[in-house]
Amino acid sequence: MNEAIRSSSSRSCPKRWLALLLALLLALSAGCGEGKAEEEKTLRLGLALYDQQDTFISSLGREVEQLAQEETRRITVRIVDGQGNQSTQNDQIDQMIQSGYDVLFVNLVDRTVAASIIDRAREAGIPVVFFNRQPVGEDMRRWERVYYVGLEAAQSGRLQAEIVKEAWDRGEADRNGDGKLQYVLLEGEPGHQDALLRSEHSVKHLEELGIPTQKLSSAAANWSRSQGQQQMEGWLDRFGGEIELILANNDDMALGALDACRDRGLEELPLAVGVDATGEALAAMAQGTLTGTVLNDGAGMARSMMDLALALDRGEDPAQTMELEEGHYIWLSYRKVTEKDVEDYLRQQEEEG
Amino acid sequence: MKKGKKGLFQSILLVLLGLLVLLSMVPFQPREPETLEISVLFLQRDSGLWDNIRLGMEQAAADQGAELRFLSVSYDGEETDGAQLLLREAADGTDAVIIAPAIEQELEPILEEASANCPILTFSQGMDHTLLDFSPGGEEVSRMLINMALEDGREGTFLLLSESGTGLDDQRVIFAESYLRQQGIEPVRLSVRQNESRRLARTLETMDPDCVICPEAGLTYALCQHWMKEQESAPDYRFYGMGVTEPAARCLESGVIRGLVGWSDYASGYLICESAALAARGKEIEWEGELPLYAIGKEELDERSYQKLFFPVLP
Amino acid sequence: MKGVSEVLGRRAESVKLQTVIFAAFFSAALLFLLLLAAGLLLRFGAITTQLVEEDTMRMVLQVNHLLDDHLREIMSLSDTLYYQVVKDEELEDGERTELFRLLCQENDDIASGAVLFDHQGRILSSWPHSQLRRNAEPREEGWYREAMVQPENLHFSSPYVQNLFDDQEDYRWVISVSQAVQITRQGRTEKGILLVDTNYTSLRQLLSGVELPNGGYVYLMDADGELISHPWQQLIYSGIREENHLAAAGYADGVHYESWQDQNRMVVVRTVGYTGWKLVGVVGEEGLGWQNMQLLPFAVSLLLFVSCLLAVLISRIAALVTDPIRRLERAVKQIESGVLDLEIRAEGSYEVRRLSSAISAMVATLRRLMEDIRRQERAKRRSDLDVLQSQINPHFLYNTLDSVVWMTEAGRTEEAVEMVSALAKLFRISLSEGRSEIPLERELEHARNYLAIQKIRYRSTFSASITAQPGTEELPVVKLVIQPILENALYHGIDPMEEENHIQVRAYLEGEDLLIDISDDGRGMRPEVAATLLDESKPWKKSKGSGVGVRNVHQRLRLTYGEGYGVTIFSEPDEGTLVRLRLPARRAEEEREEGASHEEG
Repeated sequence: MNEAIRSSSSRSCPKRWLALLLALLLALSAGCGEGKAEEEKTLRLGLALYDQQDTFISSLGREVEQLAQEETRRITVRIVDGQGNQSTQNDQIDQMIQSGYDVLFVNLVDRTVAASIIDRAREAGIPVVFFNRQPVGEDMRRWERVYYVGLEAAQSGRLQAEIVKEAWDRGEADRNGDGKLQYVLLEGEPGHQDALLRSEHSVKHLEELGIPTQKLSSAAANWSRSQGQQQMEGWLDRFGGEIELILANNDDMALGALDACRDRGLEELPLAVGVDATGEALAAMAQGTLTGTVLNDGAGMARSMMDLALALDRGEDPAQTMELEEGHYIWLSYRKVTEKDVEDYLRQQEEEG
Repeated sequence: MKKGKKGLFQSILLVLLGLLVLLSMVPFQPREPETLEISVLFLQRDSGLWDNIRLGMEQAAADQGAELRFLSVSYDGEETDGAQLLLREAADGTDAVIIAPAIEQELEPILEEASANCPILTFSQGMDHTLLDFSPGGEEVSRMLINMALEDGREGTFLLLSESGTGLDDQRVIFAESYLRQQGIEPVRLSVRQNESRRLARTLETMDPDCVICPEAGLTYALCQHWMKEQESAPDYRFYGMGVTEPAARCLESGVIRGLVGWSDYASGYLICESAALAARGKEIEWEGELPLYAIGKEELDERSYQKLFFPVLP
Repeated sequence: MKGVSEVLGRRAESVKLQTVIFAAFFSAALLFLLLLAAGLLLRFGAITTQLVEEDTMRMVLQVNHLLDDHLREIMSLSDTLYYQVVKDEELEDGERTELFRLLCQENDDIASGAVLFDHQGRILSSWPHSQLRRNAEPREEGWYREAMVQPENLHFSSPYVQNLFDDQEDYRWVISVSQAVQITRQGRTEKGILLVDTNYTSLRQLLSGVELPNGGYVYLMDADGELISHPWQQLIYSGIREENHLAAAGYADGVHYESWQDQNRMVVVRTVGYTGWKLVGVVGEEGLGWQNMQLLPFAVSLLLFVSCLLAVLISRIAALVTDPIRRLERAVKQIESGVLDLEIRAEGSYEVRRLSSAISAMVATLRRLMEDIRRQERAKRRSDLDVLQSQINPHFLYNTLDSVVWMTEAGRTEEAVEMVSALAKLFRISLSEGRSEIPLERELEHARNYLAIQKIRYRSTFSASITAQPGTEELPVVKLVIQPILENALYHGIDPMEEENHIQVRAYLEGEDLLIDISDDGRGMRPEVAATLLDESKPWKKSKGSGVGVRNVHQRLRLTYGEGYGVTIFSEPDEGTLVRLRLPARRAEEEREEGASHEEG
């Protein structure tokens, strides 16, 4: 009888292993979960803005959203506001990384922290496109899938100088006739790349264009209209009518300075040049208070950002297929705001109200 | 033979139970629900108006595991491309669609067709093919607005301002009209198309009413924005409008306008988005209450409690 | 009832040892297992709860530290603004504003602006905003009044949107920190209020990142229960969600358990220094206790698995242990049914092996004994036979030798020689090479010889005839069966008075049997005597000669051939006697076989 028993269990041995194998396979296939649906997934873009209160930045965000809507590819754009706080932005970026966004667009609050953001994105394999607030070159070179879309700030400074030159040529600039242009300079955020470059190049180009300048004072007004106004008030106290030119890194500050002038009841306003070509700036140009401004190609920036995102989505290497400088940078141009621009704007205002 | 079978059975049972133990040790992650996509159609020019609503929606989307797609509908003066967008979204596989009040009426004809693919939600009452409503009833709004105006005085011409075209505030306007009449006041009616705030301001100036009642948030927003930009054009007449937006707050604060009626845009945005997510997942929509309505004058605004309405605390 | 208990009793009896062992061990092990598991799980649950409490408390304390640091930074900024700037009498308003700007920009993560008001609510210095709104009245603001009421303290307001200023571009949530200050202007000392608007966002940032273990959250409220920062603050403000913060405002510092919205929660409260704010950590019930559902399936499945394993193992062990006993039992069954040449292996535990070998030995002994018995019986039979056979000879021998003696003495030498020869032949036959069966022929010859001897002795008062049916001569018969009968006939049947006594010996076949009739016409005997002759139970009176002979012959015939054979006596008094010997008529081969088996004996 024992023989009988032994022989049957040796026959069942292979059966037993087979059963074990089957059970394992079942468990594995259950645990694996559903296979990834092969349907086209939505392209998910995350936009981290440094502060949505910044009109240019928030309009850029909306521009991107609009472009996304127009694409045939299904795109979702998530815009988050860093509220001027880098740790808030870090949390937001982390959350987007975790949610598995396809491309991250980051408008840094503090441009010195780019490295940690790049590292985190690289770990998750998500390309990062910085825009408008430029990280340092070393950080940009940290990974090949880091890009920057921006406007060449130096150019905006130069264009500002050109606008002043035009006014100078028209004879409107030199009030006191001393052959020199007395100006005050309102700078953006301390340390901001654009602020530094604009300040530097606007003045430099003025010199290059043959206009002798005299700097009365300069101050940082943090891109803010009210701060610009405040500063200007102080300067008006000190310099009064001496000020021939208000050179500002952006429109808001220029308009703020003009507000101060208006409040002061100045009859003759100094020249004022800003950058951004905001609606208010154009309105001021129409009114004749703002001398000129430089249009930063917000629409162009948005377009480039979208193009990058689409290229990345298609699996291309943008360094190959798009025109990138040094493999990372897309520079867009500023242009001077013309009369026509002002007219268009006014007409648009009429229509839209 | 029997013993062999018994041994086999025992072995299989042991293996299965052993696997079960191993399985139960695997850290169990409750499978996260699939991320939903909710499309929101709103009128392009209203984007500023929608700030608070968007904040509420985004919070709800985060809570519900959904992602929002904001689609701005452009208006060429005659009609919008909303229909096209709606159909495209519905066909494209979005999980739910939320439609702004401004374009509800225009889109009504195609709602049935579109709602075959996914749930469609609107803010207002009385739309078929949609689920629930998230804005307080038109009558109450108008009544509150008019009462506020009447408290300040009954003399003079009352102008009832409304929007023609795609606005859905006809109910409010109709009720406002009849209510005013009940109060013994015959209102002057002005119905404007959407994009004319500067012209409108000028028109209102020329019409020179004593009191303007505007039960429409978009118009209020546009006018307030205009007045904030060009402070010289601030109205002489009393203006009572709608909507808890920043320009409206500024105007109220600085006395440019006299009163506002509003509710928490944040809450309505949150609730509608939450409901959209639930509807998309086939669950029951839970919101049954009513959003409280507030009549806000300058004094109220100074009181800090109303600040939360106008300026949602960001997460 | 009795029937049931009987049935149960019978069932109980038939329960095998294996089942008993299995059941006993398995239930013991299972019980032990369950007790152990229950104990561990309960303890684990208690420990987990304790850990969660400690963890949460620790987290809350950590946040408290961070918050303290943050508040301290704010206070230090305010103090710096006061003692370094406001108190500096040399400064003009514009310069003071410049310093405000410097300090605030330097600390822009904490503060968004600073304003110095005089006691009439006018701005002396302010950054970044410079103009009050038209109808703004700072003196009616809470932060102003509180600072005036308690000049020695720094006052923290609850969060609100700052809207005092005209040139505000945006509305931001702030927490205002105000303190009453001494301003020296133009030689006079006045009261003023220093307002620092702190960056509410950074405070919220501090708290929003905190995740308590097990999905809990942290929120901050002031001493009156008004929320300062909560993860769902706006939802609560909008009325969409609710929080039990008013109740929590009344809790003392430490761990509390409450029930809120049908949930049991653990609430940890900690008061923040100086401001009196309360930091509250909330952990929902999923976070407490049994670390979510994962433990339960694991415990249950593990229990099932181990029970099953136990069951399998114990049943194997039980089987292993009882196997030898079972085999033994089966062997015994076989033995019971008569199979004796079984090999019982000795295996199993000590006792079982002992039993096995004992039973083995007993069976062997049994076998041997039974063999012995059989052998003894056979021997007995043989010796009986021998004994019987040996009963016949002595008397005759003595008598005949006597006869030979007096015949020789009497000079009747020829007769003596005859007698001795006949005697010799008699002996030969008698010995017959030890065989107990001889051919009929020889037996008849023996009878003839005997008669010859007796004739001489008795001077032939009788005549005898011995005949055999042709064909019977070769048939085997037990030797020395005729002679005793003749002897009997001579001693008892023959009447000496008579002249002619006739004895006839006739052998013939009857069916399967060989019959040998020895008849005489002598005295005969009464029937009862005839019967007694053969009846062994009746004692035989020993008399002359050997009546025992007849009985002996009868016994031997019966012993050799069976019960159906033997001696039958027919007798009539005064008529004669017929003694019939019945034997089976066996041919030579059968005789050989019979002889062979008998040889073995």
